[in-house]
Amino acid sequence: MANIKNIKLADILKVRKSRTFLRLLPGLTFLIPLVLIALFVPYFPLQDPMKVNTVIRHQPPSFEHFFGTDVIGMDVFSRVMYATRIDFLISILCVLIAVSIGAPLGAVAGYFGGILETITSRFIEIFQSFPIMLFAMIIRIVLGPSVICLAVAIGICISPFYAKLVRSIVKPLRDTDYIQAAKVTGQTSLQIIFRHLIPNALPAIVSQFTLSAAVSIRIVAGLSFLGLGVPTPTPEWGSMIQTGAGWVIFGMWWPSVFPGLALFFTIWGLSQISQELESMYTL
Amino acid sequence: MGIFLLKRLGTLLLALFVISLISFVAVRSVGTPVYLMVGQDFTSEMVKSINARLGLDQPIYVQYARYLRGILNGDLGVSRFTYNPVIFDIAQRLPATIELTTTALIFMIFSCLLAGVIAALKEDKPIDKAILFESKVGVSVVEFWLGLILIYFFCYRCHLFPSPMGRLSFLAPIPKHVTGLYTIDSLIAGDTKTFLMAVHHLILPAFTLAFTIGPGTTLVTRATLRNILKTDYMRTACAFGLPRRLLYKYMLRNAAPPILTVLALAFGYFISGAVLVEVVFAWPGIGRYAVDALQNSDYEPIIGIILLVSVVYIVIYFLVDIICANIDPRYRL
Amino acid sequence: MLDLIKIRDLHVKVDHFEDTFYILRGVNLSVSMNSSLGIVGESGSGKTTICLSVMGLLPKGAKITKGKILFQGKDLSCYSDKQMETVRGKKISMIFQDARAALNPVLTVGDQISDIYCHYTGNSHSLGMKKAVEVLDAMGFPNARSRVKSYPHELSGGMCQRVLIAMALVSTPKLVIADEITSGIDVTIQSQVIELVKSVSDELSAGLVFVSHDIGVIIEACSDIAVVYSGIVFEQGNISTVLEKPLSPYTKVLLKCFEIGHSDRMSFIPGNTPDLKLVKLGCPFAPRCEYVMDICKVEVPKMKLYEPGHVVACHKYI
Repeated sequence: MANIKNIKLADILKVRKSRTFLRLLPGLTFLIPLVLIALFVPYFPLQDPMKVNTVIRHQPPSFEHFFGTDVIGMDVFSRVMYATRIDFLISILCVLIAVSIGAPLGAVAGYFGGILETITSRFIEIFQSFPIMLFAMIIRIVLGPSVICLAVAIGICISPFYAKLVRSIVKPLRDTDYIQAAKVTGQTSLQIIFRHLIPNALPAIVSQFTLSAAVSIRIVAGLSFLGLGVPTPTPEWGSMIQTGAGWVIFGMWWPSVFPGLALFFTIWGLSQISQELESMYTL
Repeated sequence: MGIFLLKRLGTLLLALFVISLISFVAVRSVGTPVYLMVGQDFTSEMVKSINARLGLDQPIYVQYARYLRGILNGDLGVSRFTYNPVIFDIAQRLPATIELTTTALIFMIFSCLLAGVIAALKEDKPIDKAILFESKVGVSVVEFWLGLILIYFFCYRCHLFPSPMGRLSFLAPIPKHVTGLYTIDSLIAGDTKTFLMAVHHLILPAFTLAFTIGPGTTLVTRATLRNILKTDYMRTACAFGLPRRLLYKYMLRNAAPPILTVLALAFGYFISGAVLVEVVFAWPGIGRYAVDALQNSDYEPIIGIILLVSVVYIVIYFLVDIICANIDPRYRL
Repeated sequence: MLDLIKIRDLHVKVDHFEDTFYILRGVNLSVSMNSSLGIVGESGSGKTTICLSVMGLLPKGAKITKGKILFQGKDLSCYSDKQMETVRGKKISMIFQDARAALNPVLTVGDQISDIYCHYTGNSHSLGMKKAVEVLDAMGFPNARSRVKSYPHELSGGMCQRVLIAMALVSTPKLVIADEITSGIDVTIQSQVIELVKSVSDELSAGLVFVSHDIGVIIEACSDIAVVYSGIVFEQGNISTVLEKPLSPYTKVLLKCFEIGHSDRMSFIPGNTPDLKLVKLGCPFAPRCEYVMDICKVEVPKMKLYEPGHVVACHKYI
């Protein structure tokens, strides 16, 4: 007795309005400041994040440099703040790319069925069975060093998830009356997919946005740590951890620990919100 | 069951084919330094002869066939940095990674998996809430950052653990090579001092590695068991007065497929996540090898390692799938 | 006739997020040995909650706040979980509604029956499997020997139900509770299932409690009937007595709904079921009762003996 849930986004937001806000609060407490930082950091009175000054290198946290300076004298605090931009930007890009690849693929697989679905499903299974980090690495090697290529590589890695999600939503809808009616009135398959089917999958997709963002930030940081991510002078949390890594054993913890802390709070905030969104969707 | 096996085998072969294709494309896109090999004053004949020697003038599918044949013979290319065949380099460093990942897996099973089980059984009691909170926090921690923090506290501050310079202290003798795993080899040789030293060096990296997917495993185990405890069939088993022992057996048998799958994913993730941890702790495994190659723009080892690791991961995933289908008949549908 | 089980003034509440629902508001019920009681009522009237309370299987958040469940002289409502383990299965067995969900999907039905049998007799697993074949055969399974190795998802709903009945048979209880076991089964199979449960309880000389929202099924299966509405038992008695001479207004209206062919309109009871969140309700049927008096809105009617074997809870008869 499968009930085809045709939940609209409006319905989700109507459910338990006041409690919703309370439940999102923990995640938002961290995320909202981070987003604000990402948006407005150029207007903050910070030190120049790219200013190299070897005279003041390796200074511990102080009033002048809140998070200290790193191995070549760059101010860690301002770099961490500026890195917020890049990391958020890339993760948003990754999620958008993942959705734009995965959602149509899943919709096509679910709608047309038959051999198309089998082939697409096999591919999704195969791509999901690769360790995601290695997959990102190899695609990044193939595509090249720019930031866009990085985002595309990670987006490709995450897309199977969305393809599977959309397919599982579209498949039961295929035989409903209103889709049949759309077919009868002469709408093309493409129109049906984009005007009827994908909007039905939107609530589910949106509820997964933040989780995918968290995953992609993690991968970006990991790849940058290995040198495969954002090119070095640009401040990015992962690569900052990497530059400071060799000095921790000598007691200089601040160049690596603060970026990691920022990473932690971002990922944590995103995960919290994604959990709440997911439970709202499944209601 | 037979048909299911065939289908999964088919998917396995397809996956191996796809990964070999991807790595072939990667190798070709990285290119061969023909012009470097030829030198400054070159003639078109020299280029042609080198191309013919490397097989670069053949149609693409022939090149792919050659590549495939090479792989199956163990030829993963040659490292431009160490000048060794990649497979040789990997064989040298593999035991270190295996030691690390296996220890991490054991850590994880006895801490995180167990914690998940306990949290599910003691539902909503304080210990459940504590485990839940700790896991939720742990999931958001990035492993290479955690490793550095651990190094700072335990190596620099407390001197409890040795500094991350590899598997044994600087001048310690390496145990006689039987398996390549220092812990096992030193035990075989009866050398407890070296054994303890090897373990001492293993603890921090293995813990960090276990932490990468440990909290996630706890959450999945806990959620799976909680759901199972609420099912109708567990209620029926209770209703017929079955003893605790049998109830646990029923519960674990139903939980086995998702938990095994997560463990397989964990192992696969360990193999790849070991890259990050090995860098932080200067562990001489294949992960470090890959990163060193990367920094030297030496791409063949990386691709070789990725290929190897992906193959291992896919095979493990496949095996776990078969085991799950054995336990839970609904899988075979 | 001695009472096998007697429920006195049972109150059960359930905490669900911020709300508290008072599901049972003073249930009085009795089942004698060698008899079969049918509990009939609408969905949500509390029938299943009564059964779960007896078994000690109330879900998390549900609690017995008042009352006694006397089984063979002992009060089960005070039993701890460990003590209930000795009662469940061995003394009281329950057969649940959704049979396929009630069976463990990763074990064969033979294994599940054998596990129960071996637990109660201490026999080996192979003897247990032999017993499972025997018992499935008795349940009317063609080809029981191969069926014993089937998994629940390979069987139909009716077959799964029969497996559950087999499991109840094998645990040799003194009381069998069957909760809506005919819902979700083809009508043609329903009679078979009812016959099976009756024969099982006869064979075990056990009491039978049969819960259903369908009076037709209860008439077929039971000798006594109890009518439940919103957490209160309104009437209990011999089935023919109650059907011929229904005392409680609710019973009268309920029976009218089951009449076929008297008029071209379906009978229905006007009004809605009461809000279970209210602590004090008075008689829950008061808003919809045609004999309602002032006292009905304030006080819950107590169970009174009208004639031997026939009790009713209604202010009309007090």
